[in-house]
Amino acid sequence: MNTPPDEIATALPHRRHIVSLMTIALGHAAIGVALWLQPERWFNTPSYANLLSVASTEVWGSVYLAVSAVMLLAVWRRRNRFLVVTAHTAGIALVGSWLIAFFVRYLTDDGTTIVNVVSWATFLAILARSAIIIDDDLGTEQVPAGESNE
Amino acid sequence: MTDTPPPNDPTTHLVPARSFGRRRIAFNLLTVAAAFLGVGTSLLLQPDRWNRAAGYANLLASASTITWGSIYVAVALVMAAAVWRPTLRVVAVVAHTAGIALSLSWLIGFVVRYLTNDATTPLAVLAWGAFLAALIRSAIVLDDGYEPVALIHRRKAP
Repeated sequence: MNTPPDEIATALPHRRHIVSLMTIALGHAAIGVALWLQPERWFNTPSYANLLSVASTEVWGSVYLAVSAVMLLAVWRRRNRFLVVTAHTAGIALVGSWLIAFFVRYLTDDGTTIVNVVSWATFLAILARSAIIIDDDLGTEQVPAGESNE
Repeated sequence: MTDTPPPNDPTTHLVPARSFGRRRIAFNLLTVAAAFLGVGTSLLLQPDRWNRAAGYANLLASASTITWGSIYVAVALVMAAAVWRPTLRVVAVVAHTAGIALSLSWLIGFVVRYLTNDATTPLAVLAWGAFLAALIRSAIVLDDGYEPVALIHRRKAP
């Protein structure tokens, strides 16, 4: 074994939250670009009427791109705890607000499906999971003394 | 939490931490299973909502909402079974294979619809892309639950 055990211990949790954060960051970037470049598609779909009455596609697109940029920055500077916490907080706030809007729309409009509710709930679960494991270290995964691990 | 001794401490030895992979599989599979159960239940109980939405026309032309709903619920149940019985490798492999096949087929359907219909947004493409990514990630770490993925210090027996 060439790699020191302590290095292994700190590498695993970081890798786990990076995968989650990268996935959501790329999704947010794609939504932001689509909101900027294809606003008519969003106006044509009834599911987004609530959200687009609160802010324009340009504003929502900018918010998504900004949050995505912070998340990518947090992946790049993963040891900077302030940046990582900011990225998760912004992501959870944005996804949570859209989830509530989709849920309200689903309950009040028979022309919408549950897909957006399910999708944003999944994004929220991934972000929440990522936030929970930030502070994980190998110590929390250790087998209690005296318990067989073989 | 146990204090981590220095690497060369002669009173300790390294043992594999086997719980990482299983916990990661459980989270990803449970998340996607819950989503699939929601979609499947909605397809079975609210077919009119799906038939009215433009984004699902391609998929509902190939099979009815009842058929798709049944498939989603069945795959969700297999995934839940895989989480419930993590040591049964065949159930885990079947759950991942079925989930990836279903996600991929719907993802392709959404991509085609997005490219051919100006009234659809990329949200469904992204959502099913995220489901697929979560399942692929889960499949990659599947064997981590059965093989050592990290070494931890443990006190040697006196």
